[in-house]
Amino acid sequence: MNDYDQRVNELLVHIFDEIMVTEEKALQVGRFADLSISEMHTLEGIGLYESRTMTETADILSVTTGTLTVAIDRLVRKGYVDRQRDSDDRRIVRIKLTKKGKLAFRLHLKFHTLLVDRITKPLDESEKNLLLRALTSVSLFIEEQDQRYLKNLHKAELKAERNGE
Amino acid sequence: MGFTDRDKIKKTVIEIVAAVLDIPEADISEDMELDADLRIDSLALYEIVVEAEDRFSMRISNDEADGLNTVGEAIDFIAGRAGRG
Repeated sequence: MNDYDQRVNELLVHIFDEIMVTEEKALQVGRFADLSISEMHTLEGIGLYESRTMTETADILSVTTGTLTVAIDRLVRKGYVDRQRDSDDRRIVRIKLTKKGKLAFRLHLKFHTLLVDRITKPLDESEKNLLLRALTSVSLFIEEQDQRYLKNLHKAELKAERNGE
Repeated sequence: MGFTDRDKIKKTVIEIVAAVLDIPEADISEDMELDADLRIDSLALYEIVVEAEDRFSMRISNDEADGLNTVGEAIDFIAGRAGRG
């Protein structure tokens, strides 16, 4: 790696490491100290105005309904989420954000708005397009690697199954 | 949107702002700046927005709320949106 590549790498690793930590700290010092960043992302998955079913929300968040149920139980207890049975079909459970949940969501959104503003405000249109191309390329690379590892994991599981492990 | 409607909206907005900031309603006037005069930060602003959305049955984005400078502007914004239905 030359000096430029080294610097790009350092910045990417730093951003990756720090962004989640900073988000978590922002929550901890404020009124939402009882909310973890993963719980905040669950609130994002539910959406500001939607009244979603558990299955819809689990799909959005790419988790099982079992995992989501545990998370929602906690968020209901803490007062961020309201859970009710569908008025037309009692078998369906609908979840939506309470006022407290909406407030936490909006403040989290503000953090992301400030972050994006900080990056894009000083840029002209061509620089913005360049940034978008670079970030898209990084995002695609990560996705490709994720798929590759997933495939390898699946192969290893099949092999273990064949070997009766 | 008649005069009375705006008056009702003004009364409710001032009620919400006073409750969130925990100050008397009489201390709030339309020409007051949210930031400089009332010292409303992001937390208080979005608390007001969440309450206003509930009371007026409307949606207000963060960007729209961030763009409001005075109590009067907030009242006009809500009155305008309520008028559009």
